[in-house]
Amino acid sequence: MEGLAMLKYLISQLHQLFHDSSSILLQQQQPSLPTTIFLHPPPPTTTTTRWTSFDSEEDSSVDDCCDLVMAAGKSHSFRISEPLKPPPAKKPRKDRSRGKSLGRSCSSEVMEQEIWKDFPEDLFEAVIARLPIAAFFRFRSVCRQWDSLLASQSFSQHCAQVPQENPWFYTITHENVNSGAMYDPSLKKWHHPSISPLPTKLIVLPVASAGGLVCFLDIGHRNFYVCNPLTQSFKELPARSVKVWSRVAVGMTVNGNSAGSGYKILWVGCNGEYEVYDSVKNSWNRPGNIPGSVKLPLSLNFRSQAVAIDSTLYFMRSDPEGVVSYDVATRVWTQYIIPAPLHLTDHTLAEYDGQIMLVGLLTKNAATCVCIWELQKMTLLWKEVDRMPNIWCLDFYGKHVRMTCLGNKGLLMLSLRSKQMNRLVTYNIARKEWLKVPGCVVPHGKKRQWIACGTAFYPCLTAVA
Amino acid sequence: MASSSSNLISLKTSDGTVFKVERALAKTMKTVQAIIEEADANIYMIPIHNVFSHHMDMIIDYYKLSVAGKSKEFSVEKLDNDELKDFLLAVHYLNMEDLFEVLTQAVADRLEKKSVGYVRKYFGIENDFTPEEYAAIRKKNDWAFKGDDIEPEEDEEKQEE
Repeated sequence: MEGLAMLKYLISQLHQLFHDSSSILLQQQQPSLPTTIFLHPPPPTTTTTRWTSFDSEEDSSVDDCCDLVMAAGKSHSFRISEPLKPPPAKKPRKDRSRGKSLGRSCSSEVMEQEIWKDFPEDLFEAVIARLPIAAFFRFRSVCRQWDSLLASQSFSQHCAQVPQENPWFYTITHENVNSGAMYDPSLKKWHHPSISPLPTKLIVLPVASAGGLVCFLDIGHRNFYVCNPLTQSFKELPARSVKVWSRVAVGMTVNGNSAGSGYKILWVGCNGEYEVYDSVKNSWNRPGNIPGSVKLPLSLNFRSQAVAIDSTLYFMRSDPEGVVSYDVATRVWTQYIIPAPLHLTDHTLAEYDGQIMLVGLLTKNAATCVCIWELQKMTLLWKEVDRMPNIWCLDFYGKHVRMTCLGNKGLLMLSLRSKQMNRLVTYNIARKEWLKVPGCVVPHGKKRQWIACGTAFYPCLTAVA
Repeated sequence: MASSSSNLISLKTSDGTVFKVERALAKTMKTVQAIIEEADANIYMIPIHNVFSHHMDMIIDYYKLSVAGKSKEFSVEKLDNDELKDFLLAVHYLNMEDLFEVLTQAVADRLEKKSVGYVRKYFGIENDFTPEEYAAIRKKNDWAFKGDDIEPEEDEEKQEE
C-alpha cells in the first residue's frame, strides 16, 4: 500500500502542475512543486503546454518538497531523474492508455474524471461491497467490470469486511415447489428469482444453512445439494454410503469464520446411523458409532432444524425429551435430558449468540400462543423469556394452529396456519421484536402464497458451494 | 518551526491553507504517515494535493467526534452527491481507514435506489455491453429490479413495476 501511496502522491503532484500552469515552464510562483521531474512529451494533439527538463532552482521553500519527493524516491526505488513512466495499472484498461491522460487539456472537471479513472478499483469495490444485495445485482448491468466482480479476489475481501446484518429466508411455497421465494427482512421485501438456484428437476427442500450456503435434500431423502441461492454456485454432493433412505436430520457448520474455509454437513437417522461430509475433501466419512450414552432409537424432531454453535450441532429429540449434540471437531456425541414445557407443540430449536432457545406453540384450553424459551445450562431447564403479543394470539383463539419455524439463528420466521389463515411473522431474538411479514405474492400475481418450508441464510455474494 | 518531534504536523491543502493537526490525527492518514516515516530530515510541511480545506474541516470534525467516542454522530447529509464523491476521493487518497468505511457506506446508501444509468453517470463509466449482452444480464437479474422504491431506468420508464 505504501508504494501505491507514493505513486498516487506523485501523480497528484503532476496533475497539480498541469492544473496550475498554463504557460510553458514552471516558474517559482508555485514553490511547493517539485522541480526535478522529467516527463515524456505529450502526444502531438496537445498544443497548450510542453514540458522540458529543468534544473532545480535555488529556493529554500522548494527544498522541503524536494526532500519529500526524494525521500519517496529513495524508499521505493524509483529514481526521479529518470523519465517518469505512468504507474502500472492493476488491470489493463482496454479503452484508453495512461499516456493520454497526461496530455489532455487541463480543466479541473476532466482532471477529476481522470482521477476516478486512474484509481477506481478499490474505491468502486469498497462502495459496491456495501450496497444491499438486490442493488448489487441490479448494478451488475453497469458495465462488464462490475458484472465480473464476483470472481474478483479483492472484491471478496471487501465483502468480508462488511458486517453481516439480517439473514434472508429462502422458502418453498406450496404453489411453486420448483423455485424459491426469498424474503429480505431489512427491506421487508420478497424476491422471486426467475432461475432456480439448482439445476435439478427433482423437488428439493432446504434443510440447513451455514456461511451463506443452503443445503438441500431431495424429497426422497437421497441426494444432497449445496448452493448459494444468490449466485447459482451449486454442488451436488457425492452419494452417501448408506442405502436406506429413511428420514434424517441434517446439520451444517462452516470451518472457521469465512465462507471460503469449507463446511461440514452431518446427517443422522433414528437408528443412530450418521455421516459427516467435509467439503474440503469432498467426501462422506463415518467417524464411529453413536455412544451408548445416547438412547436409541433416536426419536428426532424432524420439524426442528439443527442448531450450530461453533463446531457443535444440536438436535431435538424426544423419548427422553431433550437435546443431542455432536461436535464435528472432537467427534463427540452428548445427550442432554431436558423436560419439555407442558402443552407444547410444533417446537423447534433456535440459537442466538451461543444461547440455545426453544420456540413453540403453547395451547391451553382454546388459547394458543407462540412462546420463546431459553435453555438454562446449569439446570438444563427451559425458561420462558417471551411470548407473541396477545392481540395476535387472539386471532388463533379456538382454532387448530400449526406452526413452522424457518431459520434458527438470531432472526426467525414463523409461519402460522389454521384452516383459513396464514400468518407470517418474524421474531428478532435479541430485540424481542415481533414483526408482521408482508404476504408472499409473485410478480403480477395477486394471491398470497403459502410457505411450505424454508430456511434462513446469511446472504453472502462470495460463498461458493 | 515545527520539527518532527513536536506534536503538531503541518498539512497544506490544495487551496493553500495550512492546517496544524495533532500527530495522532496525522497517524490516521496512512499516506501522510508514510511520508513522515520515510523522510530523512525534519518535515516542515506536508502538502496534501487532492485535499481541499473544506475536506480537512470535515476530517477534523470526524476526528474530534471519534476521539470523544461519538463517531456515529458524524454526518455527511449536508453534502450533495458530487461533494460526497469528492470527499471520498480525498479520504481515499489520504488512506484513512475508518473514515473511508463511513464514506463508502454513505455513497452506497445514496446509490442503492438509483437507476443503473445514474450510477454510470456518477462514476463516469461507459456501458461496454453489447445490446444483446445487456438484455441478457438485465433479464437474469430482473428480480432485483422489481419494487416501487427503485428509480426506473431511463429507457425502461414505460415498464410497470
